[in-house]
Amino acid sequence: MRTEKCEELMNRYLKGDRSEEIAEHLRECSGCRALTELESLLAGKPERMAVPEELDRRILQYAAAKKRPAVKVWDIAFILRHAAIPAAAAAMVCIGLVFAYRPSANPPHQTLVRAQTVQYDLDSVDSEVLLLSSRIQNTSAQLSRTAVYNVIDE
Amino acid sequence: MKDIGQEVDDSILIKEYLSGNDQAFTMLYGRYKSLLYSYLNRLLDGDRSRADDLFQQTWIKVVDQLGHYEHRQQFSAWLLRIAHNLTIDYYRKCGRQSQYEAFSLDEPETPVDLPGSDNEPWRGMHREELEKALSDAVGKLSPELREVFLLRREDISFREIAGIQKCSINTVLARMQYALKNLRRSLADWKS
Repeated sequence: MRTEKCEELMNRYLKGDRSEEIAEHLRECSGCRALTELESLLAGKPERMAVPEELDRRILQYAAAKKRPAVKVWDIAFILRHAAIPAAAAAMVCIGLVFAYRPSANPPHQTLVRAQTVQYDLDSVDSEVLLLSSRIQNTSAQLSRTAVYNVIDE
Repeated sequence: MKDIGQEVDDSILIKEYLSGNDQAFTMLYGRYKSLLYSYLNRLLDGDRSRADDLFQQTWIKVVDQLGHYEHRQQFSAWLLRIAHNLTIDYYRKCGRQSQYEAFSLDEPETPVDLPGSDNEPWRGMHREELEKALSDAVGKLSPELREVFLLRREDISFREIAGIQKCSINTVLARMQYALKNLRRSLADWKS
């Protein structure tokens, strides 16, 4: 009958222990000897079964569709960890330069206001010219009348 | 696309596939597909449609998780660990978890211990006859014991098996011993 010692020695045998102590036990214990004999008999790899082609096709198709990018996750993490801040700073500088050197342009509503102001200015110049012109005409008429009166008096 | 030779290491094939080389995955799949397919069919005791389903699920998971594969472990052990987890899920879903764990070391051992004999059942059997008898005998083992035995036949170390079954090496060794004792008994019955 197998004992606790049998269990312990068999465990050691299964783990690859081929010491004299085990060899001696196997010579004495036919139960353990039978198990080791069976174990070594079955050590060879079992016969393989053929995989149906349909399964091959489906799996290889899935693998091809799932093709991975060349960059691994840890590469992305590395880039984020070490290059994100310098990249953000460079982007800010570029944006600043673009705004600094951009030709000034007024928004459309400001242009409209400015155009209207100029128009008002032109209108007021016109009215002044008109007023001045009428004054000149009045003065000219007065001068003409004065000259006529002078001629009559003489 | 790079051309890859037959002798290339599994780790290289995985890295190549992750770099976008499909041929590398085809080669890796070719190396292990029969191992996994045969293993699942034996583990599920000939339930072909379930084995097909788990085979497909395992490879899909492999493809999805290849980026997390740790190159220091054996690829076959990693592959079989995924298959094991999916098999446990299957047993759980169909309420057969208890069937998987039918064998427990806390329970009294089934009295299968036979005395030593000069007329062991396998002596005088041809290889084919032995494989047939063994196939029947393995089917009679509880899934947990069957798994240890089948993994061991695929050269998976006891340490790796312990990792797969999430138990100690001593538990795995004890299961292997129980499996051998049960097989011995079944072979004797088969012979008689």
